[in-house]
Amino acid sequence: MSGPALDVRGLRIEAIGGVEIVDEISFAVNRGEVFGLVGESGSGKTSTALALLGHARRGTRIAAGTVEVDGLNLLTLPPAARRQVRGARITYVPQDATAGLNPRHRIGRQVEEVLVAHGQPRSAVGSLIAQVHLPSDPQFLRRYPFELSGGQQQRVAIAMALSCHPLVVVLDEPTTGLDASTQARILSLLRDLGSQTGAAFVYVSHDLAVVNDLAHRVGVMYAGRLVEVGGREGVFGRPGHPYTSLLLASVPRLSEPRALTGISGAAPPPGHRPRGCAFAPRCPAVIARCREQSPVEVANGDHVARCWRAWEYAPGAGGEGSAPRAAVDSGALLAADGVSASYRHPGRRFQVLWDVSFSVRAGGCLAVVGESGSGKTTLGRCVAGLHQPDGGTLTLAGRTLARRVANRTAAERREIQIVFQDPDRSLNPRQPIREAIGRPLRFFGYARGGVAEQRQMAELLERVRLPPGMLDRYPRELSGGEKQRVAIARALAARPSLLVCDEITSSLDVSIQAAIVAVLEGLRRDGLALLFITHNVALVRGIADLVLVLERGTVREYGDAAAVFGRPAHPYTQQLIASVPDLRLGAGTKGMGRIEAHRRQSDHRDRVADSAC
Amino acid sequence: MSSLFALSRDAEVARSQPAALMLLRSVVGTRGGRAGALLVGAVLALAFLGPFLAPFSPTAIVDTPFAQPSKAHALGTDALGRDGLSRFLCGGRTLALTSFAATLMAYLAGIPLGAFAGVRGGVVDIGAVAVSDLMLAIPSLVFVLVLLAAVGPSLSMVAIGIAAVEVPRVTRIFRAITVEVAALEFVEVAMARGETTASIVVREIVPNLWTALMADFGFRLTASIVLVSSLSYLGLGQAPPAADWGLMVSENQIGLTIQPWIIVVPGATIAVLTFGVNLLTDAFARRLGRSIVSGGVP
Amino acid sequence: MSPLLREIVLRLGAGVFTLVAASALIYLGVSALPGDAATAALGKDATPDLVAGLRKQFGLDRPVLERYGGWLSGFLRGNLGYSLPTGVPVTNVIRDKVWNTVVLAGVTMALLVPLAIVLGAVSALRPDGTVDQSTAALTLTLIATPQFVIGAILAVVFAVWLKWLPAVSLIDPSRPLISRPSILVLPVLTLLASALAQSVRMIRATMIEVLELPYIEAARLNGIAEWRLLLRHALPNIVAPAIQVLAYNVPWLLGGVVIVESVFEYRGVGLTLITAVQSRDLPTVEALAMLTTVAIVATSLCADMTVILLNPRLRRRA
Repeated sequence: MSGPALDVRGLRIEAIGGVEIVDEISFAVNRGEVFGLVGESGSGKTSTALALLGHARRGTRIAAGTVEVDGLNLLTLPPAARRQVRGARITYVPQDATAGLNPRHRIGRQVEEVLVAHGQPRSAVGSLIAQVHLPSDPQFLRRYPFELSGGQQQRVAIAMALSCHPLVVVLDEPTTGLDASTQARILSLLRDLGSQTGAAFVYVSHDLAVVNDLAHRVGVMYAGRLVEVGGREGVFGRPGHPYTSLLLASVPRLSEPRALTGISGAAPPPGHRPRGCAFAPRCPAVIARCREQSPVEVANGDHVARCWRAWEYAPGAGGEGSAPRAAVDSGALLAADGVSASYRHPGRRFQVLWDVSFSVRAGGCLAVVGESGSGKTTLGRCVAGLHQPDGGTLTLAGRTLARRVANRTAAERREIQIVFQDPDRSLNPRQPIREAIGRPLRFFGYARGGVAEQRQMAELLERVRLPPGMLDRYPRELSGGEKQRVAIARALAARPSLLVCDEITSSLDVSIQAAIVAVLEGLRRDGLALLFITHNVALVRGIADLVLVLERGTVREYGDAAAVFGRPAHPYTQQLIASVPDLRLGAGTKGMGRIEAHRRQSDHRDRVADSAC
Repeated sequence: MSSLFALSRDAEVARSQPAALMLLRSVVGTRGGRAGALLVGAVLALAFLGPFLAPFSPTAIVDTPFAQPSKAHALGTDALGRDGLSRFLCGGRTLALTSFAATLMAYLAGIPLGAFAGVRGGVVDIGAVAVSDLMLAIPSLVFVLVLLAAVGPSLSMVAIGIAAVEVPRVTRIFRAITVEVAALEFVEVAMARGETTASIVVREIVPNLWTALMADFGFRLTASIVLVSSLSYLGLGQAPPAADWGLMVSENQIGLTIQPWIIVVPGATIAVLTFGVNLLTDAFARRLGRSIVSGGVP
Repeated sequence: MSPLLREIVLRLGAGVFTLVAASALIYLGVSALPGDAATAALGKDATPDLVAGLRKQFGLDRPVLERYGGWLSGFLRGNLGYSLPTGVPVTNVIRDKVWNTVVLAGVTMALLVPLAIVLGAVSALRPDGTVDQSTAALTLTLIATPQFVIGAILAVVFAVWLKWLPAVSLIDPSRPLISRPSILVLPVLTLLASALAQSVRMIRATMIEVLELPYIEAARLNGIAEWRLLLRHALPNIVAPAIQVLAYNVPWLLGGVVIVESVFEYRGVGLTLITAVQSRDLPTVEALAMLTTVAIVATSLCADMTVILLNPRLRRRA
């Protein structure tokens, strides 16, 4: 058994009609190795992952290249033979486990189905399920998918993928949508399975920290090309391609507060890729040649980068994060005292917040972190007046705020503004940006049309680093990051003193996230206070001076950011922080070590908890 | 609809173009759209200009009943000996006008009702949905028949009756869209700003209804055409001796075996009209990512 | 109470409520409209005395709500009212015709269900194939073509030109329907044509949606065979939507029956309805309208119940 387990050469995927989706994809993965395929949205990584099984999404086709699994080219096999290989020699774990399981079939039966399809004994189900740390008793196997949690469903999917002792397992962002702690447990499971089975793993993800924890070798994709491939230490420690460098600089680190830079602009979608290097329009190291000729691979040992200026570019060292500055004791701008809230359905009441208290001073930044179901979004909505709390008070500069926005004064409505998570729902698709930003200006009386309004709108756009030409565009023409910035500009139009940011970066790519955070940084310098709600603990390290940790509606920890991150007091906070894979250059082991240490500390508790998440 | 894999952006982009532009593009830019526009245009021209081209008066008796088509009478004569061609040329106007009128009335009542129910929610909404579902349990034709039995057959009653039957369907659709749009965050932003309900409906919600309106219009219109012509066929719409395509089919059915043309031509023209409208609706719906043939329930 | 039982009870309740509300709409709504039933029924012969006499005879001078109550309770006991102006009980009028209509509707449904499913499924399995394209063309043509047009053209083609079938479907009441099946052909064909057009497109859409379900794709990637995917994973998901599609067609079909019976002079309840409308015989019209609604609500309830029973989520939590 020599040669790589998986060998991909010159893979090209096109849309029917010829538009290129990915091209010139070549990489190899050996047995027992984990290959991390990294890319942001639109890079083509999912299309590539599917192509590894010889599958093309509807409307696309695999146009060229070879995919060899243990020497056998999957792409040239007749359908019957391909079906044999899929699920047996090379398997796939989908992104969304719920979507991948048939809701009408019991889970035991679904795993059996895969076994039977490949001539394996049905009785193997029990050991397979146990292998992924799920109870293998018959009662459990008779459950339907909707009776399992997200984490459990994903484990079943992994069990199905391992059922026939495959040579290669392709995992497409399998922890997306799972809580940080669940994600950590799934990752450690995968690591164990990797060493147990000796299979080759291809782990597709946008999360560099996770890939750093898991992978031996890494490939970076941008606009349909592999721009860099190499060993993990090499790619993350001494990146050859400017995009990789910038991407690394955009990843928030839990270990130290850093100013994030991000990458301006957006990746070109299929069909709109420029001549020459696709990254040229956004590249700080660009030269004339980049725009004319597509760069070729430059090799440095087994580390390859596709750039005319490979290894020549190094981003400027990120500045110090906005660590807590000398606190100007301006008193609290926003104070919450004993806030509780619940949701009402006919006949039931569902409490989501218990006795939450905090304060934000003018120009300060309070980060509210928690996992899904922690009530953090509800808290933000209460502050904005969009949800009526059951108890407690909210005060703005000393004055008690009415619970519903309809009962607040115009001044109060102006002072507190909110930006939402999903950029596609935040802007009216029928209104040009000019209208979206202009309306609040006129509504609050800051402008009444004419030159003054034009000027103010241009200023607003500038504050969020958007060009004034954007005014006449429609939301459909903008990227996610641009839309989110317009939403921020719209909020700024009211001249608020507090901006509630409800998971505003969660739908965005890492490099865009960083850009948005940089914009917020700038706004803070101008004196704007922030209530930053997120589940991404690492993201707030560089921006927050106070942190509030919520677990299922209760405050677990509240205090100075440095203290909470450096020496977390509450076990929940400790667990939350330990679950975050850390991307420290060349510090993969450190990150793993953290999780390992945590596991060793409470191994038994984990085993039991494992099967419940 | 969830998917293992991410959605393509093209469909989303296509959906958010200005409605009027999309309509124009789908009409001019696709084969189906052009064909549909041509057919509808031709039939409507026939309906409205036909009376001016009729060689004879539609009520004048010119020859023996059920005479075969000849040079003098291109469509022969009907059951009473009147010129087929003239009656055909004069027979479309009422149908077209009544159908359009009914559809328009349905929208004038249905859209505000649906939008209001969607925005207000609560009792108003539940009431609107309940009444709509109730009306949907009675076949459209039967409902209008009951109406006509009570009040007596007349064209205006036909239009009103058809409008009444279409209103619940329109209300349902626009209520659903309003609810969907109202749940989007930009509406919440407007609410948080302190905008009045009226302002929100007009500024934020209504502009998002145009696409739905254009997609739905074809369905409503064809439904109206079918009902109007069917009622005329049953003798409950346009009263004799006026010329009407539906009426022509029923009047001359006795002579089916002798002179089929005087039935086939008006009947086929109605079919061509509805076919053309379908083509247009289909072309537009395809632009939105759905198709009449492959798409969902109107 | 288990969720399953609760769902069932709720649906039944909703059904009953709909029927009562519909009866109110039909009876009270009609009474609220301008136009006097007695005058209309007598037509030209209406002198004030005759009208008054008729009103008294049929109790039309009693208050509305009282009349409604009487009508509704009578209906529930099988008394469908009395035809104006003859006074013949409606039940007598329709007694021998109901069966004819039931046969017509039944045969159509019996053909509709398999045809729609097969055509829809084949179209969806091979999108843009020959079956799909031709079905699509036919669908586009037939959807929204009025049934009387389809009927008339079919009659011309089959009765006049080809002379295969009779042009009108006159039923001889003395002979059983089955003895002359040829008179059923054209009416059924006409009904089928438009009903199929509607159903096929909906079933095709549902089928395509099901075939593109993520877990079907996932199973394909796990190497499960196509036939098994179809049979075990895809098909079970078609059943519920297919039932709903077909139930959705019933109101439409019943409306069509009225027209088709008129076109072919088929001696059924639809023809009776038309005649009643033309002679302004309100009680008959109301009774028949109510009967139609009952049929529709009943079918819809059956469909809903079946769908509920097929849902594992509800069965589970019992």
